[in-house]
Order: sequence, then C-alpha cells, then structure tokens
Amino acid sequence: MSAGEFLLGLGNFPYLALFGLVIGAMGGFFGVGGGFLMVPMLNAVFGIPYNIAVGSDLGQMTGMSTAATVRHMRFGNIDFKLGMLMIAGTAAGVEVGANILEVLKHAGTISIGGRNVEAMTFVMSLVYAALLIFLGQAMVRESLRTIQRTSGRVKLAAEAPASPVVLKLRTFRLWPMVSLPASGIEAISLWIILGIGFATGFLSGMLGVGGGFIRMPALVYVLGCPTVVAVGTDLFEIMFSAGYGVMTHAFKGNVHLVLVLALLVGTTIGAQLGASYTRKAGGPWVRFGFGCLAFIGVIAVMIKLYLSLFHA
Amino acid sequence: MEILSWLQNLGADANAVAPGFQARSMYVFMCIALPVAMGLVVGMGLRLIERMFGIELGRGGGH
Repeated sequence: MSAGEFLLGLGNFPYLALFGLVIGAMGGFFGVGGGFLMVPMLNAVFGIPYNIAVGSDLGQMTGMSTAATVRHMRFGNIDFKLGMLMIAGTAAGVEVGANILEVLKHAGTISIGGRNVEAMTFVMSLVYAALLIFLGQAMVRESLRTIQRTSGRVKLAAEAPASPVVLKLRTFRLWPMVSLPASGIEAISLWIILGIGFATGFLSGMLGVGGGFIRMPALVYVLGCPTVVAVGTDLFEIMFSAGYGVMTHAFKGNVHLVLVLALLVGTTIGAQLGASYTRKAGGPWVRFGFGCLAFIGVIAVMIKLYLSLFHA
Repeated sequence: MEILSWLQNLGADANAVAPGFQARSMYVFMCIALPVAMGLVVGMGLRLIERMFGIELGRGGGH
C-alpha cells in the first residue's frame, strides 16, 4: 500500500503527535534516536504499513537530525570531510535498502502454514524482531557490565581489547587512502569509509533507522575518531541519509506528509523533555531499561504478526 | 486544520501501485522541505535559547 492509498484520519493527528512525543522522550532520555522503535510501533499500534512507516519516519528523522546538527555546528564537532566522503556510500546503501522494501511492497501475499500474510509485513516483522533482540541484548549486557564495574565487582582493563575484525579493518590499506585531519586520522582506506556509509545507509533505506548504533562504534573503534567528533559527524550523516531516504521514498509514494508533521511535532518536544531528564537520572540503569524496552518491542511486533496471520 | 488537509491532499496521488505513477514534484518537494524547515527552525531556536541562557549541550546533544 502507498501513502496515497492509506487513509489516515486527521483526527488521529493528536494521537500520533503524542506517540511521537513518547518515542522522542524515550529517545532523548536514553540518548538514542529511537528510530528502531518508531517504525515497528507505528505498525503494531496504528496499523500503518511498514513502507509508509519507514518513509515517514525518515522524514521525522531528517527534521530531528537537522535541528541537532545546527546545534552541534557551533561546537565544531563535525568532521565535514569524513561526512561528505561517507555520503556516497550512504546514498548507495539507502537506494539498495529502499528498493528491497519496494520489492517487498509489490510482492503480494505469501502462505505461511496455510494462512496468507503480506510478504512485506512478514519479512519486516522478522527483521525488526531480530534487530530489536540484537540491540536489546547489547544494551543490557553493556549496562550490566558497567554496573558491575562501577560497583567494583569486576575489574576491567583500561581499554577493552578490540575484536579481530576491528583489528583487521584498521590495518586494511587498499588504495585510495585519505587523511582526515579534523579527526586526527593520518591515512585510512576510502573503501572502509564507503563501507560504513553503505551499511548504515542500507539500514536507513530499508528499516528507517538512523544507523547510529553501527556508525558510532565504527567511527570510534575502526576509524579511530575522537568520540565528540564521532557524535557530531554521526548527526551530520543521519541528516543526509534520512534526507536522501525521504526523497527516494517520496518518489516511491511511501511518505505520508501528515504523519511526518505529527511525528515531528511530537518528537521535537519529546526529545527535549527526555534529554533534560537524562541529566537528572542518567547512568547504566537507564540503558538497561532501554534494552528491556527493546524486548517489549519484539513482543509487540510478534503479537501484530500473529494477529495478521490468524485473525486477518 | 487547513494545513493538514492540504498536506493530506498533496499526498493523495502518491499511489505508487497505480499504472503510470509519477510522484508530483510539489509532493516530493514538501517531503524534504517540511522536515528540513522545521529542523532548522527548532535547531536555531534552541541554539538561540542556549546562547541567551548560557546552556551547554549534554552528552550526545540530546537529539
């Protein structure tokens, strides 16, 4: 179903804005974009088809990341050269991801155990469930480790040992090599930068997420960017990947303008509320809570899939 | 509510499964311009408030 076919009653505007406010507040509170919760919840709670949820969420994300980038620019935390180089990989990734979603949109229904279900709903529900499980367990594990470390129960080395994959990527020397003075990087293969951009762009185009959970660790651990530069450059990159994503999804008729506006109004206010409360609460328990929230998201997605399979 | 109805109508032709579908240029323009304009207004507004009251950004910028 396309945005033009999907009838979204204007009376739903306040509820969608409220929903955006809740997700925005949680995102601001937990220090993440919240995109990976937004799309599956729009589908599970409001019954919005995945392709419209992805396209419209990218619109909301474009607005949020533009506002955040404008704020970050005054601190000089953005490595513009790195950001611009990454855009080429990001744009290619977004295009591939959006086209896969387009194929799923036109794939019709598939039969699962004798019951018909939309191919897009089935595949996207499973992909989102896998993504939420991956992110949820990573957050819960990391927060528990931090809690144990701060309580003195576990002694960790000053720097966590890098994984073999990261070590291999760091020594990858395929021409052309580029230097990034703003990040203090003397030489890095352009292919690594494009690869990071492609991977996060793919997730943006197909799932409507910012991809910060991949880009941030990649910038810090693989490229060796200082964390403050990684944060600013990540926001700059989200602005372009979401902006390109909303454009390509608009050409495919996947963006619902009223939904974009409702989400933007809600998330803009919610993110500021959430961020101000983070300063009061903060800490690993907050990340632990968000990890648990991701598992609740998995349950909601699975219930929706079950209902569309057995009660359609 | 007029702006909502206008936005709703603007996207009404976004029926990509219809034969010969082509997104209207105004619809595509608004899909990009609406969030960017709102982001710029919010970002600059917050930046102004931060400057006026000397507020420093927290970790991650609270995006």
